[in-house]
Amino acid sequence: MAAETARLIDFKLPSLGSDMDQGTIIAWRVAVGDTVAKGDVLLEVDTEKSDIDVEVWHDGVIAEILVEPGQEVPVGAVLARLTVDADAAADAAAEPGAGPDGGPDGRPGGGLGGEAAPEPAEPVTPTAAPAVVDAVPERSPAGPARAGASVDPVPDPRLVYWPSPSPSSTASPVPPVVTTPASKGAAPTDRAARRQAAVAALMERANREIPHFHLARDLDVTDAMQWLEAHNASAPPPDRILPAAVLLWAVAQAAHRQPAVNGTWSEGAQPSDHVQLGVAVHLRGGGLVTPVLPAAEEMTLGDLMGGLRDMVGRARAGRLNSSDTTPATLTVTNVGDGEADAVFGVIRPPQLGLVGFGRIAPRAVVIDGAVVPRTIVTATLSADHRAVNGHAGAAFLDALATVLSNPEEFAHEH
Amino acid sequence: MSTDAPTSEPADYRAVIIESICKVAPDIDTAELEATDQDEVLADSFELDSMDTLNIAAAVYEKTGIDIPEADYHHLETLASFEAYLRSNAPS
Repeated sequence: MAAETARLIDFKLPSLGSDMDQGTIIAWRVAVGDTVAKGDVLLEVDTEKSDIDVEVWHDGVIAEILVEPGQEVPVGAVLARLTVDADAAADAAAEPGAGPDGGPDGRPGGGLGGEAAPEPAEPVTPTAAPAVVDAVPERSPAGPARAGASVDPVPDPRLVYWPSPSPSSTASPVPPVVTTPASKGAAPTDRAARRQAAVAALMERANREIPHFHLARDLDVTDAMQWLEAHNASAPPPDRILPAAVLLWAVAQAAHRQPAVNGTWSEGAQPSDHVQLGVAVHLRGGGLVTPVLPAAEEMTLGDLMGGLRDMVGRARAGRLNSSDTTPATLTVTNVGDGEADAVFGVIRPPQLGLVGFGRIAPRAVVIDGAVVPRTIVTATLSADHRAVNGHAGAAFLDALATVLSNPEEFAHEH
Repeated sequence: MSTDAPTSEPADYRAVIIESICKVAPDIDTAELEATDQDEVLADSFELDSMDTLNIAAAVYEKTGIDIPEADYHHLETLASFEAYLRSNAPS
């Protein structure tokens, strides 16, 4: 077959989130013969959660397009073939960005494990599939070792959770062809229903498989909110920072200091070097998506705010990119805009934990024997007791309290 | 996209508000927003949250140069109060 040459590589449908099992091709942005560069969007895919722009991680030329718009295909199906030159392939393989931890630029991994790199540069945790998987020729020794790089179009069950069959989807590994044209914006209600079905399946699995425990701690954010108020008072609207961004930034810092809660579960705890921070985003009219800020611990507060603003915009426009679908290692849910004091959440498998924030509000607090008004937010940690014990969970919440009590560090550039 | 330099005073603040909201929340139906009772609380009717409010303030700033401080966000509650606020804070 065509894989006789090491210069022809498969471009497969990546797993764009642990709750995704298939996608419907909306449109190709490229044609056979087009030259593409790393980072170019090759096509749009309709998934339960969103339309997603799928990027390519190699320079090359489109040699073949194998699926048509309207076709529904499982994760791992080969969508196209690219001709890449051997030098480019070697460069791509040598990049540190390959693998689930993402590169220094925070992009999801998905490097090429071609002949130039017989083994992945870093161990690949089986639960964290690269967001974009470019398979290598079958004879490559790296192929079977790479999570998600199997040539078999059936997703590895360790990587992708197949939800129970729902009215709108079947778990058939054979790609059924859907004749309905996948016109953009078609049947948003159906999208919402499918999204909800995917969330439902994931939450059922969470409660079936994960022995949850919950910890709560009231965090004094008086100083943090005063810092924020002063910052925002002197900044024009585009440069202002939301309290939610401060909380997310603090979670990333705390998880970096206390990494026991940051990772995934797959036949044991799989810790992560990076905090791939999932953010639960409420959609108007109901529905929830959890796009991801990759390597959030490396971000300044300003970076994180900018990333959050863009990401929430994409989520609500129904158009995520593949960076947003990096497998998360810790998710945050923030009900602070509502009127709830605290949230005790359900972990999104295969993650080890979920951090929840209630509303930020003034409360009476006892300090040195006196009752004083302070600004408080209740933080909760839901943790997987197979991987995390109460002591480690409490240490994480303590680190979170410490980060939030030192606003002088907020503006610190890394 | 839009120019950095704030434009000269627009005649129609209502249009600026509608445009700004629809820009930051493209999932909101423009016609529905235009037809909204001018005293209806926008955050309730259209599920606007703190991110939306900030983005709307940024969009208004881009279009008009009017810098709405956080402390004044409560003036943006309804179409009527939002418009009145912009009119009274129009650049002279």
